Amino acid sequence: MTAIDRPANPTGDLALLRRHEPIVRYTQGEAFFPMEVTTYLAHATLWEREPNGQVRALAQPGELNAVRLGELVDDVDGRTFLNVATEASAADMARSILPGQRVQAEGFRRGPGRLARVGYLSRFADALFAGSLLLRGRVPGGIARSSALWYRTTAHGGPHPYYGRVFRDAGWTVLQYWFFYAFNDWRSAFHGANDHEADWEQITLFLSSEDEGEPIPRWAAYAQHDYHGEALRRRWDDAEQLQVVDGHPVVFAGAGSHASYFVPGEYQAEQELRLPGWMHVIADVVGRLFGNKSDEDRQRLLPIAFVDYARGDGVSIGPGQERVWAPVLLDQTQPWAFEYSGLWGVSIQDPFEGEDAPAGPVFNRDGSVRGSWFDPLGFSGLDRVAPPEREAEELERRAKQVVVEQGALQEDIAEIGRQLVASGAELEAIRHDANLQHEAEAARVTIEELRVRNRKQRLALTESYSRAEAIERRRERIGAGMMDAPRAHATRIATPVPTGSIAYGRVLELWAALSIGLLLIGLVVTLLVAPKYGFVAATLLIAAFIFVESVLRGTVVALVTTVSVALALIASVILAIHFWVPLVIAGALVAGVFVIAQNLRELG
Amino acid sequence: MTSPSTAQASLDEEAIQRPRPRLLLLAPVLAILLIQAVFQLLAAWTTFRLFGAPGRIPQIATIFAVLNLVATVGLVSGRRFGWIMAMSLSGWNVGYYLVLWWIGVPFYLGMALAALIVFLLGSREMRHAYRADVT
Repeated sequence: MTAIDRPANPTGDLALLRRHEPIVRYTQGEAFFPMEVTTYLAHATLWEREPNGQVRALAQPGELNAVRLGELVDDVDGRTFLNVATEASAADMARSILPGQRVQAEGFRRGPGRLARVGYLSRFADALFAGSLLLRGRVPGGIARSSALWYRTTAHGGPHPYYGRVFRDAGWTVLQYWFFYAFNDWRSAFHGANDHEADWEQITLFLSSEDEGEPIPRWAAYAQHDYHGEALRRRWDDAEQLQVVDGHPVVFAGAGSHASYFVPGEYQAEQELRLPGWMHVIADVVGRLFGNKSDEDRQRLLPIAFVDYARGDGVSIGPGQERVWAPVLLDQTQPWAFEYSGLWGVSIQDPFEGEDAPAGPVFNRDGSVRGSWFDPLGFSGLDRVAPPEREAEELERRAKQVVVEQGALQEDIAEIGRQLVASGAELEAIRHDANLQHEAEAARVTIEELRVRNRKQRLALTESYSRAEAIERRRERIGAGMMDAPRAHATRIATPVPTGSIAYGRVLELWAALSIGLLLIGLVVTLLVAPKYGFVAATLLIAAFIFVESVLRGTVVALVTTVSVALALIASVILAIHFWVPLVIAGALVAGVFVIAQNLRELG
Repeated sequence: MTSPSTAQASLDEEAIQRPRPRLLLLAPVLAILLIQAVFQLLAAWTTFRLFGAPGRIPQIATIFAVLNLVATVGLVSGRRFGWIMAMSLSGWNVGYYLVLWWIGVPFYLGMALAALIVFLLGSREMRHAYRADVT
């Protein structure tokens, strides 16, 4: 199938999309909701960044529409991007932060501070990350506010469309719902990782049907930070993870980020600073010897924590909610989707891409086609899963193949056996004849080769029997209507941070906010005031900060253990270097005594 | 709501119920702590120096000796605070001996004994026995 879908029955497809369209619940304080791309285009400027870096306008506000967008970029060489947001005027900026006039995060209640959730090193990494925004380019804060002002005055109160697509593949009917937002203000309004103009988010439902009947939803996949493949989807009957109201799945959108979550709550999204491999090795060894951390935790040295608030306590859009959808079928009647591969929003040229606007539903930022568009099944890890109605049939087919394989293996094993016996008989006949020693040696080699083949084929046959039994057991389970555990397909899924574990005290939150800045100032002052004792003073200052932190967190025991073990390791290295000769001698003596004792015990 | 002292008491009670560490691990720790306490007092108040151990200010040495004894009693009675005190004192001692080594007056025996206690106390068995594996 090409990038452009040509559904056979647009009316039926739209009805199907409507039947299972989601209910999206936003967090209190969300400023941007799904809007029409046509409204955005009507106010947008289209830019081209030429290969030499120059930026030129291809169309001014008022000149664009859904059809003309594709025509204008048809023979353009450089990368293109759209832009509505501009820096707000000083008056607008001032007005927008007055009580009752706020355009961003109005009514939003911040959760326990993200900085308090991580230690010093991660806070320092966070400071580096914030500093990197200055170097790598970022969306200025004024643009977020002006976008919110623009959205409030221009698009707020307008229809809320989703752009729906129906795709049929391998027995599945795939429903994709795309949502377009004017801005992602996760960083500027909700202390998140990034801001960017415009935002495209999607959810996908997977349906199947028996005998061409009405398709029944089986799975739902929501796009989320840090997750991919199987981890994105939940089974339709997994009531603990997926809320369904009258056939409509409920989505909890992240505040500002608009990422989609199955369960309401606060999600800790983490970014990991890239560190040299040897640092991970050392951390892993020390962690294994003296720590209690899991394998995964040991590898996360400098996680920068960002909180994605998906509380669902704000506006809801969907059937039976205060706001409803105005669906649009995403097919060839929407040329903007297929003909424009540029960015929807201002291009910052961020090397990490976090602050760059996204491309549309069909394309990646680099102009290639999105995996979720051309292969929705693979994107959600469903490409290896048969629809439930067809699984028994697939198993039966596989069982027949296995029986055929077993027959071939049995024949092969019998033939090898015959050859072995024949070769063995021949060897016995010739091995005592001095003139036939070369032939005897060749027979021995042949026998050894046949034995290897025999072992290999017998092992394969044994495994094949086990496979056949497993397939049969699976068929029986399916026949009896037994289902797998709802989350058996995924090893790691996004779960909100439990409320109890993020109940930090105000003192710790304040300390987390101040500590890195205070430490840096303290170090500078120390070096200026007492340069002679700078190293000692700086060490003591850092130690004092670490101690205060551990007291506030109630982790003094862990701190004492870690520091003591670290010092003891250093001391051990010094001792080993200084006393290596006596240590080697002592080791040899101990080993000698041990060996003698072991041997004498055997005698006695 | 549980008060801090009640919570601490329950922690200590749990420590008692946990399996005691093997004598092979505990005995060297107790012995070294006791020996350290005795020789710290001797070094503080007399001219006796074990293998040239550095002297300390008498009052401070006395405090450390007493703390060593308290930690020893705590460990013997299976209390969590005994483990915490022993680990803190040993960590401090290792740091102290490292500083001495750095400034050119090393005392290797003290460094080795302090490091040994840290490793013994830091073993999984000891941490489990004294509930030092929970925060």
